[in-house]
Amino acid sequence: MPVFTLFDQTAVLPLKGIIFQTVLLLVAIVLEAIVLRQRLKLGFQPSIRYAATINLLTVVLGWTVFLAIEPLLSNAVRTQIISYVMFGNFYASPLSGNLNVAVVIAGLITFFLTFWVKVIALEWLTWSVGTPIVQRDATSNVSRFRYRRSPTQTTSPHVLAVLQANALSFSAVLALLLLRYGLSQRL
Amino acid sequence: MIKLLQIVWGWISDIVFPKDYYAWQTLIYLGFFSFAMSWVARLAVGQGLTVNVIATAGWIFFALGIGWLLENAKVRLFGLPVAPWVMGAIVCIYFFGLVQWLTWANGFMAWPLVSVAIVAIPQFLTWELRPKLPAPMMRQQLILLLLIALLLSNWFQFYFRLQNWLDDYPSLLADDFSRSGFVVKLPDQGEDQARGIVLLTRTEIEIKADLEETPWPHVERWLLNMNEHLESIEDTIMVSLESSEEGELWRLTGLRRGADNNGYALDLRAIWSGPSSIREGYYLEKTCTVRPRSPGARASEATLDSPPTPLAVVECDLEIVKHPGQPTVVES
Repeated sequence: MPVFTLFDQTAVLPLKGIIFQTVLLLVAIVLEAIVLRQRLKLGFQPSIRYAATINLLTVVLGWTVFLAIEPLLSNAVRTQIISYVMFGNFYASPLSGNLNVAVVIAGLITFFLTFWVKVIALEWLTWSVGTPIVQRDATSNVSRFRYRRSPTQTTSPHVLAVLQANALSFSAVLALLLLRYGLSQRL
Repeated sequence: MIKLLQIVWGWISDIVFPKDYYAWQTLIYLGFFSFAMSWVARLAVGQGLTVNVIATAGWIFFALGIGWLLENAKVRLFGLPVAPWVMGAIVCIYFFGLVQWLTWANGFMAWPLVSVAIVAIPQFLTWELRPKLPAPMMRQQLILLLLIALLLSNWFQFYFRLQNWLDDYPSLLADDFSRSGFVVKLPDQGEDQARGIVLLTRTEIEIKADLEETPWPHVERWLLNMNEHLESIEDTIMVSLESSEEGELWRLTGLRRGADNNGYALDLRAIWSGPSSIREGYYLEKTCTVRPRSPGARASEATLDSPPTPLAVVECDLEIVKHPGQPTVVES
């Protein structure tokens, strides 16, 4: 069977990545569910379901973006990513001095992008499930972001809730990643 | 004993001969029947549309039958019904086996999505096959299921991407994966894939072919231009190795040192400047000695040439040593 010859050459399996991602996802979902439940006065089950949906969505989008742009990268950047995935560190090259800065910037961009995606996703999800937490009004939706600081309009509670939830889950995930990094350097 | 056999026969006949025609066994039998008929058709008329249509019908019956069986038996894994995943797998095996220009890797990526579609499609249709919207709770569950399937699909794709990377850079397999946050290495895989070892071994053969049994002045001229020679050797080896992307990450250099008996020691180094668990990279080193043949050996051969030119002898260590970092002296 050709299906089985597909795995003859298998030398590495992404098992650690899958396990870490599952654990980090569970942590993020639980923390965000707690925040959403307190802030938005949701029930226990809906808050877990909403948190699971928006976090799975951001993870899926992240994977899709990574898998889509990885073949387009130049060899110098691509080999650095390979080095990080396979060995847990970048390797010395003309690029390597800028990489730590690039990682921090990428992390910040990811934070704000996921925040934006989660707000939109939560609104769409609650509309499609039939328990809207904001009125479905396209104009105010745009203006809320564009003129957030105008005195007449206040930020709606679900945006604040998602911001707080996102900040909490990012902090927890960052702490866990640093812990893992520290442990792996120790060993 | 007879009693036991009767009971066992009862079980078997219950499974093989259902009480009603409306049962999963009917579909599986229809599937087998279609497979058999498609083989008959293939033997009779060869390849053709008819054969494919009959075989396709066989696969559909088979998938539905297995799905019905698993759904009936309420087979569950972690609380999730197994039936759609198995049906999705059967559909993917059929479809990606039939369509030649799609690979099995595509099949794996499509499998979770096909399975979710198998779950979702009945929710969007009424019993009269009219489109409908599922209930709100079911919508939420379908969205979650779809996202989980997409995540699984991404993981499969990541797995295949890893194998692509290792095809492009096979030397990575000889490295240490223990600090990776993403992958584990299976044992007994790819230690021999390090191109550096092949590079040094082949260089040894090339140098021996160039220098062994040649007059000593020729050897000394060769050694003066050693780096040009090594470059051309590296080029020919890299072309023959077909190591796609990583050829440019290996560099072959040599260091010439004086040794006893008027000879030279050559430190041949294959320097890796690519992804590595050692941040500074590493290099592999093999030491060869080149020396003129000693007078005793020459006398025993009793060549008649007067004044005899000494001939070169090349000997190389069997061992290839791995050093972390970059060599301090690159040029000889």
